Amino acid sequence: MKTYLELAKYQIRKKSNILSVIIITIALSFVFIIATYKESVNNRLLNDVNEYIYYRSFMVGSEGYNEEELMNTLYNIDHVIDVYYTNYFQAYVDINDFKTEEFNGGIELLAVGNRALPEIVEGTNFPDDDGYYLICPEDFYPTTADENIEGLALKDRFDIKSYLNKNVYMSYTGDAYNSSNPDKYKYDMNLKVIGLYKNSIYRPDINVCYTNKKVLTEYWDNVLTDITDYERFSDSIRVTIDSAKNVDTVLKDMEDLGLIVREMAFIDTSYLDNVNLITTTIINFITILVFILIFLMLEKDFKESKKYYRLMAYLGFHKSDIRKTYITSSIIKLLFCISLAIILTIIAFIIFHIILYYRPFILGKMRLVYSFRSVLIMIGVLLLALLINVLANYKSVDFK
Amino acid sequence: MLKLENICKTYHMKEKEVKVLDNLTYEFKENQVYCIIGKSGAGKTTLIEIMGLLLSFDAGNIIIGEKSVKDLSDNELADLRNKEIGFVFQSFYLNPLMKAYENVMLPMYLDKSLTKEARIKKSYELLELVGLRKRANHFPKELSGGEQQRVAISRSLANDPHIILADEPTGNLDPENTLKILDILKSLSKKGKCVIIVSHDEVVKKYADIVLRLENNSIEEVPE
Repeated sequence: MKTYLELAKYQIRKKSNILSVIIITIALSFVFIIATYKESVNNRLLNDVNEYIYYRSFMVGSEGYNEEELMNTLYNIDHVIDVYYTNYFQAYVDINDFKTEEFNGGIELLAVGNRALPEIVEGTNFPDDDGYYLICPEDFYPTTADENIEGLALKDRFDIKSYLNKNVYMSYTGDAYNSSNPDKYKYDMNLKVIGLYKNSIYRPDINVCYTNKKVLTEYWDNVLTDITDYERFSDSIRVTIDSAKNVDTVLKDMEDLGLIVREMAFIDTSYLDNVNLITTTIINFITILVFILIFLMLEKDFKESKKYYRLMAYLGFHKSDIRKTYITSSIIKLLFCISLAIILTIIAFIIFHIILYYRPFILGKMRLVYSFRSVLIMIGVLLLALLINVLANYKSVDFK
Repeated sequence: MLKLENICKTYHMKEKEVKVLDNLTYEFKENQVYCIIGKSGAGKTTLIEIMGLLLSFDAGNIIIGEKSVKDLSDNELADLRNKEIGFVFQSFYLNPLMKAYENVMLPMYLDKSLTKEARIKKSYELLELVGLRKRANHFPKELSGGEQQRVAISRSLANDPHIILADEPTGNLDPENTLKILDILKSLSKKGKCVIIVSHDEVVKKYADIVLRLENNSIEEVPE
């Protein structure tokens, strides 16, 4: 092997290789960039966003049903991990302790059971007692103002870690329109921060804290029962499933039971189809171009080197030695092209990530995910071009 | 050293056959410089390629040293060529991507007993023999025609072969360099090698110990 590497290195000295290598490296880099963009867009929709709890939750009409019985039925459906009254699911609240210069302390509270919680990275999930608990995101930006979020950097996140196992204070009013007695309907709550969950600045949950069901049951019962013309704002049960991938299956199962079901939220993925169509077309086109360029480069190389492979035959090298030398020099050139393309694109990737640290929303809340899959595919393409070239020239090393 | 026994070679074209060599028999010995002459188309290149085990023949045999080549495989022929025969070509045939010492080293890659350092050392010694040690790190394009041919001669000696085959080695050289090259080839024959040169050059004939004429598909010595 060492001999073939030594012999191959002489062939690599050819200056005519330089232009071919540059063109192929540029083409490969282009493929990796487009593929990275495609993978990032898909990742955003299919992972970062789609797995957010709203996109895997339903509202099931409960009018005319015994709600407890209905909840038991729903809980027994495959993939269902949490069930409760819809009107006790969500609230926007202000937490005084989270107010800073950058943040208005506003958070979205979601009440769920332990099974519906995202991955806890620090602390614990909800204990089975009468406490009032909060589980906050790791990358926490306690603000309900969208314009605040747009200008934020990753380094600006709120230091929620320092609040772990501490109480935070929440106050709220029961009736915002009762101005004749503003103090009558004031309530407050101390919530203990018991855990942090895994999220990222690119997900919609940067200001979402999870709480146990008791908290929002009490909150809404206080907020709503003091309104004169009170009506429960929905007669429905909120059902949460384990993954957005199972939405269609669970939807069908519930509809088969004769239930009226509505998804809490869904993403229009039609633009994803367009993105995928365009990027896949470009990638396929460039892949074919790369294949042709490599094949032509190898062909040209072989023809130019044929004279010297003939010399090797005269000097006593076997046909197999000559083939191995040729293949080794070709592999070295191709590895160089693809390594350079990977290095250049990863450097660009790292630079972009540094920029994202300070301006994370440059790509519109999309996280960049490097497409290593495209690297593997292009290695396959390179090897295929080499294989075809070697087979085409297999007999040409017989210099008799 | 190199014995040709009843060598026959015919080229088969589309509608005709061309017989080039017909029962050619001759024995080449060590310590001699042979010059093969003949008209254009007589078969000199064919003969030298057959002797160099680069071209197959239709009948007969070649004995190199004690070894018969008749039933050898392609790889065995290649091995024999590497060990026993050194080539010098009219166009020098150096690899332009290799420095002078790297060109000389090329045949040595097949000798697994040599380390990289030993190969380099030997190639420098061979370049010293032809007076080019100082130009060892130059590429062929940086050398004159005469210097390139001297590098080619050094390369032909890489594995210390018994036979040197030279096809018009002075064809691209000026008179001064022609003499230098012939001096070197002559000195090799004095060291025990069998040097066989194909050439039209009258000067080469004067350096040869034996002149052979290839004519009518056969070979004969030309009297002095």
